[in-house]
Amino acid sequence: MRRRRHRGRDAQAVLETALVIPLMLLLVANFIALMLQVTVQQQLDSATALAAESRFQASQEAFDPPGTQCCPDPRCCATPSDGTSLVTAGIPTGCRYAAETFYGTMHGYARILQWEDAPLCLTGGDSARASRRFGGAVAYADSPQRSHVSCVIGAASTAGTTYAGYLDRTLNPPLGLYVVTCDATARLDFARTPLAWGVFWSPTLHAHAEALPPPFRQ
Amino acid sequence: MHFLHRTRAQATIEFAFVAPLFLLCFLATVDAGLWAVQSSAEVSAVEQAARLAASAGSSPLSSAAPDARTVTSTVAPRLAQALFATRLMAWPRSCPTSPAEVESRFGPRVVALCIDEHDPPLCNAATAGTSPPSRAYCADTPTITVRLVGHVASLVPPGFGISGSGGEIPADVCATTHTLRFAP
Repeated sequence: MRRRRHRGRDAQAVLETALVIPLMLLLVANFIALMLQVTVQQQLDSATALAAESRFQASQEAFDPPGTQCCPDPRCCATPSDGTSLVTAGIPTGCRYAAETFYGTMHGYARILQWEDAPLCLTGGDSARASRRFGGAVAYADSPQRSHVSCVIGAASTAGTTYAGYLDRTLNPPLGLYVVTCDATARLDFARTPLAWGVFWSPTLHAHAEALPPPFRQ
Repeated sequence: MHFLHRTRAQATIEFAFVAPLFLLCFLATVDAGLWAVQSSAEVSAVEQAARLAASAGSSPLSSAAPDARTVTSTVAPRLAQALFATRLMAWPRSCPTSPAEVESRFGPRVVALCIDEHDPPLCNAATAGTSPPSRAYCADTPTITVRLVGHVASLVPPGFGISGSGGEIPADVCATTHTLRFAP
């Protein structure tokens, strides 16, 4: 009778350990995953903000001539020119600057991010139509369609045509102000990390940045 | 008597088995939090440094990249608060290729901030037998790349299983942006 009681206690201890240890490891793995998500989100925010601001280093009238690519060589981006380089001919140079800034900054987590590609260069858009993607902005005719970052480039003019930026009505209601916006969306795929055994969620990260033209340019 | 001995022995064995594992999990959790704080500070510092480097050369008419020491001293106070047991240094020349290069020069638990400026090709640089560079690229503004490379201190050796070095996690954060230079 006593021996049976002992055996029961032994079994209970083994069962407790078998339950608690995996649960503890699962908690730790998910905590690490959460920390990773926070870090990647911050890197994405940073890259998007710098991309939007870098548009103003290009002239309003500058459009890329035929044969121009984003990341033509390692002087611009972390990755050299290859088949995935974006052809930027016919779109504002500011769009290429934004892409070069974004790709050059956001290169550390390429292995674990699945990008939601969209057109690189857009015009128009209004914060009053926020329910529509990019506030209803439309892509330039020559814009690359599969870019990790999408920017609404404003006040670009060529051959007598002026392309409007994104009208943000929250900045100067109700008329609004034209701003440059950049957006990037990616899914953080933990299945490609050593945490795959215990992390069963894949969050979608989104970053949105707005930049106003510096006063001396206005 | 025999029963008491047996129970104590069992408790000791359970403790001996669970305590190291619990300690490892606890340290891993603290380390993950610490890593997130450090990474967050690094990303902010590099972003701030990129803006600073893009807006301020050695002079407005200079075509040279800003001095890494000046930029480092500007971002250092904020970064130093978050870097636990890790030193911040300015990398003197072009950026190191890997965290190991920083470690071999400055020792363990050091992150180095470096600045690279890439100028566009000259518009009149065509030589015999080569095609002239595209007008688009030669009219470009320079790009500035700011990198923070090195190893940050870690509580769980060996570097959370990522690094070859003991008690360290490799760090490599980068920001690239275009800049204006009014060089003649």
